[in-house]
Amino acid sequence: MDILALNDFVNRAVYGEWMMLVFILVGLYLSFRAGFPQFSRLGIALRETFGAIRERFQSFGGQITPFQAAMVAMSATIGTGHIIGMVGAVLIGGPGAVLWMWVAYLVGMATKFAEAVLAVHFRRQYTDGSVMGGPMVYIRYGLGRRLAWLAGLFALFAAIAAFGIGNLSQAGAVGAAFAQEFSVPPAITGLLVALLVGVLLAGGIRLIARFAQVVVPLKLLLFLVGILPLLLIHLGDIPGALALIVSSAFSFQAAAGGAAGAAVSLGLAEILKAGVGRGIFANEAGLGSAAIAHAQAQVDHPVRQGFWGLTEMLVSLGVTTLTALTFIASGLWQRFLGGDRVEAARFLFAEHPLGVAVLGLMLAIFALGTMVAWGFYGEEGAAYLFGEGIRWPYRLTYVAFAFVGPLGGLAALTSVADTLNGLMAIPNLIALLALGGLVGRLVREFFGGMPWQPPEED
Amino acid sequence: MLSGNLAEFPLLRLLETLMGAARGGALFIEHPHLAGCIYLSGGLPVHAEAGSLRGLEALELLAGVRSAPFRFESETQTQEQSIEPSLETHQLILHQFEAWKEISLPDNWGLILRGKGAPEKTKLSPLELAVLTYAQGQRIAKTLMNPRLSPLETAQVLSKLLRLGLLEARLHLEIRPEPLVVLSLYGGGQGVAVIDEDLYAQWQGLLGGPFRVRLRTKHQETTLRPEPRINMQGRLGLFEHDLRQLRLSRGMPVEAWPEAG
Repeated sequence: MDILALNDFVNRAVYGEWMMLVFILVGLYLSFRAGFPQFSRLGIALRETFGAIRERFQSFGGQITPFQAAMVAMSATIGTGHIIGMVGAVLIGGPGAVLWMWVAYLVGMATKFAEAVLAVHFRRQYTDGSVMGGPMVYIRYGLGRRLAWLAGLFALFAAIAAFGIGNLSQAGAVGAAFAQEFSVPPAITGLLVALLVGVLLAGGIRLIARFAQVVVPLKLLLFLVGILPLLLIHLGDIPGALALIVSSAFSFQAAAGGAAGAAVSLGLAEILKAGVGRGIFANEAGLGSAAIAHAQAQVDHPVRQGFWGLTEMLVSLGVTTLTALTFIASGLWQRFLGGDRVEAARFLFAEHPLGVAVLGLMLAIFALGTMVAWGFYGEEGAAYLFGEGIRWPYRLTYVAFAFVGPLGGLAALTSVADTLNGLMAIPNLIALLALGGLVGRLVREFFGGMPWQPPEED
Repeated sequence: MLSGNLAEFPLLRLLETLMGAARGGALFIEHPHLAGCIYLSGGLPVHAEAGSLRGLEALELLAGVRSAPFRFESETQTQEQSIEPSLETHQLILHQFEAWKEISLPDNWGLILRGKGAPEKTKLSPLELAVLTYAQGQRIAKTLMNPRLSPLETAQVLSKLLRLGLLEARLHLEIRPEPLVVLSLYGGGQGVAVIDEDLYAQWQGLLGGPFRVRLRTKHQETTLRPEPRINMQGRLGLFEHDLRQLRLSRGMPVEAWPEAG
């Protein structure tokens, strides 16, 4: 078996049904240990995040504010997958996939909550005020020295995966969008993207956070500008779309669907896989990536940052749901069922008063935000493995890849990085399982008014 | 020009020296909380000023100052005469100095007086109660200038109130209110102000012991028990019960400062 065949095999496994089941089970376990915060503490979570939005620039003395940390995480999470990926999920699993995506999101909320809590609890703070945290740190200090190799594995996966999911794929998407919609040569796009990413990464977490707090609202604004006119056009079909999501959640038969006009019949397994897959991988809950950003927030208690994790999921859910609803209400899903998702998305946005260019711009901004945040994730992973000296070489390599991305090629590397991205979940989910009890304790302490006691340094 | 400090050269000795030399001029007493001056003519006091007091009352108050820089300027004269230069006056001045020796007040008249203990449990005369009320939150120097009593009488009552523990004299600290932002805390706690551990240590150091947090909101002031926590810079954590009582919510600006106690 050659390397690429092995990669395909592992890729299918890490994004396969069994792995999805593990994600869901871990999410359910964490929900139970933390007292189902996605339901029982939702009001508090909203008060602590959206309700405290006027405090977004007030930190608790740290490098970046809790809001900025959440923005960095959201900058990475809300990517092209929220539009193209969502359209793709409906094309593979039919409208019913959306219901299962919602279920996966609800379960994943507890996972993201736990990740943020543990990231803050175990993070390391240095004398210059800088912080290192994330799954590699909570694995190392939460599970002990004997499992330090697992932490190293996570850091390695993150450092390499960043070049794929965070860099080549995103830079490729920006290049394609700019070439298609604005006729910008890929080399020019690559140069501009590399320059922007390079400057931001050079500024460290403070500059990345400042960028994220601008780019995430911009992403959401662009998304609303893009989707709301379409939603209004198809407003009358929204109730029908909602009914279809529920009625086709268990089995589905298209009367005259299919890309080639053939009848399409989908069983529960296919619908589940498409929906749950989107509900897991679109928001990165369980992959551990967002925890690297949440660890940077200076808060008085880890649970307070956990609420930002929950809210991050809600925003992500809002974006995917609006995309799915609009797409289903448009009826285009029947025409493209089983077909090309990019083409389907282009057809959807062709109805927009501003044309398909809106989609291009949206995808470009989504991808840029993701690139910068993932650059930071990868750098943190590399710094955990090799120390502070690796930061600049890593940044320069990342910038070089950002230039190459829009030019295309390197498909094999992108594929391997994609597999490593999926593999990040394994050490992270093991740690979440092992530390679920601690998350529960921290939640009880927080709501009992007790102060946070950071773990002893070892 | 003659200058020095009353701690080394007591006022009575100074006046006797000037009297013996039959000097004329102005003796300035530069107390940080009580500016005073005694004008002499032929060695005898003819006019005195101390804060808001004039004449013998001013001289009576200055007689109690044990430590303050002074300077004598022989060229400075006054047209005012509030003290009769006579033998009786001289006797009275001597009596004032003698009376001050019996009084035990802190040397630092810049200290702030605060009520302590329960005055209702101690039998006090109306005069003593009036002084106790007047003294609240005032410096010793200001209290001694009580317009209803002579400085000596006030000093005698103050001395008694301090001895009985009904008053305490504490150093006045200029602590500026700290602007903080409210942070909501969950759980059943109440009457607690959670502040950053560094701010807690700073306030504790300033007051030299236990303290309470005085909190000023838009509508009211209240006192809370401080509790230090990490990562609370710029924040004031309040439990839900107190938030409701004080009509505050997360993110609202408040001012807080420490108070001894």
